[in-house]
This record gives sequence, structure tokens and C-alpha cells, in this order.
Amino acid sequence: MIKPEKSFNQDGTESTEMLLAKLEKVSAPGDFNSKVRARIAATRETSIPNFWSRYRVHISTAALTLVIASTVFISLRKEASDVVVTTKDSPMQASDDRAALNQVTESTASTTPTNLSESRPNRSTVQEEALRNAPVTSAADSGVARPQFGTRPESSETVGVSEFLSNAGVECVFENGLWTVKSLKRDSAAGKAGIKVGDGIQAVEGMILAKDTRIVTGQDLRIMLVKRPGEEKLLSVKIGK
Amino acid sequence: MSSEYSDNELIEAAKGGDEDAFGQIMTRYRDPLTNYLFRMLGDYEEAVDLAQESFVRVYFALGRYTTDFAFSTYIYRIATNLAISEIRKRKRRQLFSLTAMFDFGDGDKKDFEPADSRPDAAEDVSADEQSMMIAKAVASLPEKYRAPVILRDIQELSYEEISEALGLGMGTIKSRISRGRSILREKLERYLK
Repeated sequence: MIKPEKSFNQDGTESTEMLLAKLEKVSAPGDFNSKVRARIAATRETSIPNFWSRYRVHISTAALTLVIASTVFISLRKEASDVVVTTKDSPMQASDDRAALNQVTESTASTTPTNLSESRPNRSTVQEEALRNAPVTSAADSGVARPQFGTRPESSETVGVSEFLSNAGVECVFENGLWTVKSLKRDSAAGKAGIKVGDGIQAVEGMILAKDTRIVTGQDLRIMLVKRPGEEKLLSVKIGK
Repeated sequence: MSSEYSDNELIEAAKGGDEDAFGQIMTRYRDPLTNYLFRMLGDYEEAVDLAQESFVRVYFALGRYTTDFAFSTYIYRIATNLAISEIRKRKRRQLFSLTAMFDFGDGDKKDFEPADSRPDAAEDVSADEQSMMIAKAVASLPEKYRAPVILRDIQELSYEEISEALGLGMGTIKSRISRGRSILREKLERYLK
């Protein structure tokens, strides 16, 4: 360390440096080091609360966002699974439908496949089979025809299958146990979704369509199981309210 | 670890978990640092507290410390920042204190009173009193001149070290020291014999 020169002023008086050098040097107290160590230990102990106090706003915001996102997600899922099909004479129970679907899936999984493409039916075949095998409850069993999955109010307006499909731009007649497409508008929702003349519409939203099935209106998205010679298709068709 | 080790060697050892090395660093710098902070703040208890805080900060920043700069300038920089922050806090407290509200005419209480211009005044004051007046004059220097003057004329650091410790250019440091001394000269006129 280079010591500064302390010289007199030109007029022979002491310079400020000389005056400052006269100041007594103070020393640290004897317990200085131990007190520093104690403070270091104390700071270490409080480091977690410090983390919380520093980031509490961020953590709270993230938690709130997560809660809101979860709520929105759950409500959207609930809305999507809200089945609106009712059958006047034979409202099928959704739980039964799902159980049947699970059964088919399990039985398929338990079979050891020798040829994967042969032994493993595709998704729509499985669903169709599940729908066909699903137990049906009649209006007499349940008393009244009611919306399935229980979220649609009973007072909602219902329409027949023919009218419902007509709203989607499809004209159908009930033949051989299927609603068969006789004509459709190309620029309609059904036409855009890939439905063709001659297709048989078996189900909507997982519910088999009988001749006298009634469908609750006011739902935007309908998923149809369409059967045509040699294949089955699950199509999403958006129909206005 | 013996005290003949350089600062950087001790710091490297402390980084590796050698508590004794950190203890030696503290022992080496605690007195100059306390003295510096005492001259900056004019309060011994506060100076000791901030000197300890400086070492605590050094300890937790050991991982980030690089030996590109001298440790002496590094610790003075931390201490200076703490001291400036404390001085500003005091100013705010003073600004909002009730005593300041009713203190008409006196202005800043820490302002140094002009020297008595009587010809024989210097002879009347004792050495202790003179020291006290010098200390008060230093403490009353504006913030930007105080640290450079203390580091140069009391702590006896070189211009390069002061420049590094305060993070200012050499020209700025020289000019501030010169201006600070000139202000002190005016305040301590009666003691310059």
C-alpha cells in the first residue's frame, strides 16, 4: 500500500492530509469475529423464510393461476362429456355404456395377439361393439326419459333424429336399424366432416340412435359413429344450436 | 493456516470451506474497515455493525468472488455501499422526523459549524477537541467527496485502489479528493497552522 505524501502548504501551514493523519484510528471490538460467525449462522437459518418472503408474490400468483386453469380445464371437460341424447323408450345409462366399453377393451387386451392387425380391432370397431353390447334400460324401467350424464336440464328442448341430422345438413331415413344418409349438402357441417350418401349413422355422442330417439338441442359439438360398407368412422360434426 | 498467506490464497481456502482462513481475513481487515466506516458515519456502533455485515456479505458471496481484483478493494466497495445506504437512510429519517419539522433555521444538523475566526482561537482548543472538530468536518463532507478523501488521507489507499473500490475513473477520484480537501481546508482553516 503506497502511503500518501503529507506535505505542508506553500504558506507553511499544515495540509489537510496532515490534519487527517492526526485522527486516532479506531479498532474493532475483540468479539468481532465471533459476532460475524453468529450472524452468518443466523442468516443461514433464516434463508428459507427469506426465500419465501422474496418470492411469495410469484408463488401466490402461480398457485392462483394453477387453480384457475384447473377449474377452467375441469369445466371444459365436463361440458365436453355432457351427453345430450335421450331415447324416449330406451335411455341407455352412460355408466353402463362406459363399463361395456371397458369390458371390450379389457377382453381385447387379455387376448395374446398372433397377428396384431387381425387380433386387435380398431378403435371404432371396439366402440361400436361396446355400444351394441351395452345394456339398455327402457323408459318403463327408469320411469321417464331423461338426459344422460345428468347435467342437461330436463326442461331442454328435444328433437327427433331426423330433424337433428337435418340441422347438420343430412337427410336420413331409418332403414334396417340404421339412420341411412339419403342426401346431404356438401358445404354443410356433415359434408365437411366427411359423411357421404349411403353412410349409416349409428350413434351420436356414444348413444345408439333408435327410430324414436330424441336429442336435446343446444349443444355445439356432436360426435357421430358412421358405418359404411367395409369401415366405421367416428366423425366430429359441429351443429349450430 | 499461517497469516503469511495472501488475501487471495486465504479466500480460495475459505471457498473450500476453511473457516480458519476466513477468520484470518476478518482479523486482517476488521480494524481498517471499522475505522473507515467510523469516519464515514461518525458512529462507532454503527461502524462495527456495518463492518460485520460487510464480512457476512463477503462470506455468502465467496462463490462469486474472483481474484481479478484485490480483496482489499472488494471489501471496501461493499463497506462503502453499506455506508452510503445508511447515510441515505439517515437523511430520510431526518427528513420525516418531527424534530426536523420544528427545527427552523438550523438546517442540516450534521452540517459543520464555521470555525471561530478569533486570532488566538486555535491556542484555546485542546488536541482532543481539535481531533473532534476534524472528525466532524470529515463527517460533514458531501457524500461523494467523503469516501475518496477518507480512503486516501485516512485509510492511505492508492489512487488506483480507491478507483477500483469506488468503481470510478482515476480522473474523477483525483478531482473529488482535491475538491474534498479544499472543502475541508475551508472548514478547518483555524486549525491549519
